[in-house]
Amino acid sequence: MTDVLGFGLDGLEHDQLGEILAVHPRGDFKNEFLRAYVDGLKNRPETTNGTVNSDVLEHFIPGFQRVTTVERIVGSPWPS
Amino acid sequence: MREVIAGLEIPETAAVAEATRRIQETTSPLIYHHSRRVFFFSLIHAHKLGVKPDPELLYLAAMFHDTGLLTPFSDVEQRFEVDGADHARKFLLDRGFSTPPPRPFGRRSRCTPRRASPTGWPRKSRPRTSVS
Repeated sequence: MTDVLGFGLDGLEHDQLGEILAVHPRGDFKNEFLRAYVDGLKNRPETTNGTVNSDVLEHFIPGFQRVTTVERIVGSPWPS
Repeated sequence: MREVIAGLEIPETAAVAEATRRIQETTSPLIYHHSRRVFFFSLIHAHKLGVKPDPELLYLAAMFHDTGLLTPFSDVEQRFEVDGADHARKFLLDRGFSTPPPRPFGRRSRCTPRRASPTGWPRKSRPRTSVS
């Protein structure tokens, strides 16, 4: 959460953070991570249903439509 | 060799050294550096929260947490997080870590086989070795 979304970043000591990033640089992390994220999911899009992962496919894969919980309930084999 | 970055120590165990090599060889620099940062940030947060995770297990969890995004880890049609957890679990069990007894209500995630500890978990059968 801290590395991807920045949660708690304000609470990290500046010098300590600098030392970590010097050894493990972020580079173009936001874009590269999103690319790796898409690449890891695009061949099994249905596994993202109901998770934060479907956000990523919805953003980057043209035509991708997430299956919502409402659609699954309405489309269930029950008559009512 | 003892490795300390920003005052934070990488645990010196055979499993840690092997996981580091494996992640470097099988993922990308992006995932490797991200996973190492995740370990350091997790350790910092743990200190602040007053919790004391097993540093070795924390390190291994961090190193495997995104492996499910890549082959050869993403070999099963399931959520990538579960891929990573399954591979971490296998890695640990193959190296003699014990499996905790099941707990009600799923309070532990799937990737938590753990070492014998003073908290009453069964001891492992073989001794652990450190990397010098």
